[in-house]
Amino acid sequence: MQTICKRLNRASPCKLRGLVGVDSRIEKINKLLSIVSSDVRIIGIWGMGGIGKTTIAEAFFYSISSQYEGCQFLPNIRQESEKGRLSDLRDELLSKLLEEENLRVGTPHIGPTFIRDRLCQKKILLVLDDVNDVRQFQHLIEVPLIGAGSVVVVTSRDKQVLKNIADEIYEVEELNSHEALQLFSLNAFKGNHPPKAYMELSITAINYAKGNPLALQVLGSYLFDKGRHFWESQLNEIESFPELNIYDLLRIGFDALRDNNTKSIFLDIACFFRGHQVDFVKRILDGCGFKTDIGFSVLIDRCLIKISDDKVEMHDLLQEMAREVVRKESLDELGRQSRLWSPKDIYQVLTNNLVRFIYS
Amino acid sequence: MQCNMVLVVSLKSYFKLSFTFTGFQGTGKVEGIFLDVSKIREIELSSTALERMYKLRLLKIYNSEAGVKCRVHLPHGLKSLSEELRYLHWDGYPLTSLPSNFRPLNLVEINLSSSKVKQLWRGDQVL
Repeated sequence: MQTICKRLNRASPCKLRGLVGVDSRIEKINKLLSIVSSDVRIIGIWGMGGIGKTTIAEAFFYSISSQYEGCQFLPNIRQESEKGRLSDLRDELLSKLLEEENLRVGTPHIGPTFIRDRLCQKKILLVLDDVNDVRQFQHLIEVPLIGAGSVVVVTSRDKQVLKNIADEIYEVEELNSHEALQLFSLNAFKGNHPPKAYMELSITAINYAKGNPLALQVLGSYLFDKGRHFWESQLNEIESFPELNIYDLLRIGFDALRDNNTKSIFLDIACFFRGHQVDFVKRILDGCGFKTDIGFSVLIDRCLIKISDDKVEMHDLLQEMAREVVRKESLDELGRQSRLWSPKDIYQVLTNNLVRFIYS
Repeated sequence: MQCNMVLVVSLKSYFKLSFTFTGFQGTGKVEGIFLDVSKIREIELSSTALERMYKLRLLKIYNSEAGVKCRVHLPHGLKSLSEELRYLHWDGYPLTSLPSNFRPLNLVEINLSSSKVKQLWRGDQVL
């Protein structure tokens, strides 16, 4: 009974509603898997930011997790690695795979024989999301040690990294126009199709987003519930960008937050609080005098942040866009910038000196 | 109590006013600083390094790598901290107390782990 519950729990797709075009992409990954014959099969998922690598990896994970004895999805490896948390993550991973609490390996390699012995008998499914360095992969898992029949999925923006790791690489395609229209409509109209009166405008909008799901979601949710006039004026404005790229589109989603309160919350999250506990972030931001509850619900509705596992999360591309907004507050003098997160910049501001040899 | 309030308000406006005139050299706009000390070499700050940051509301000096000591030193003490401060986190804060003139009127979270602090403030503070 326990096993059944666990399996049901694992396979639950409830987190994955509102997805478009994912099934056909999962099918392609399955095809790639079927042509690899090694004991442990490693599949790379590659594509530009916002194209849906993580979403597809997650959906794939849930679709087959019931067939494995141990399953783990490790998100944001790059970020965790920057925080110096790779060893903790590896310990957590092994603890969960071996269903043993507080396992501490402590060494850079998976040492103790009892761990090796148990691991190599298990058929596991592992997703390593957002890897940008081969060493991260090597630190987390030693492929020869995991059981035959195991599958490892690695997502990355860097194809070179995947070439060094994976047996096969799946390149995530852009959404086709039909899928794009559907995803856009889900956000802009809360339905699968645009109303007739908005068809043409919707097609203009999806052409700007060039099949990028993140851009489609941000653009769609920002136009949600707005009148034709608003749509026309906004789309005209977008057209005036000389070389429209995905950042510009995301930036439009940010600029559309009329209220400075919500903008500040978004920028604080992007610069400082991404990945922190919701309660903690709310307490601090409430303390800053922001209306955090309202701000959070607006940002979630606009697809600019999301809450997962009680943590405040946002897409990499949105974080990059937000940090760019802050950088542009002042290009000539750092201290005129409202938020500082880069060690190099802070050093310069605090010491008021030219920076020399700061990195150790 | 009412007297205190008035005093606070007027002190606040006095500081704001004086900083508007002296705050031309940069840092007056900074609202938040999150510094990972594992990414820098040692720095010695002047006691007035944070003085002009009168809008500073979030300050976190932390260490993402275990075992790295705080590399931010204050050999001449720290003269002041923004009254706007809401969040103060400083791993290994090197002094024994916070600046004596710092009024933590708005502080909601303070974390000075592994610091040398013996007494947060001298005298009474209304929190």
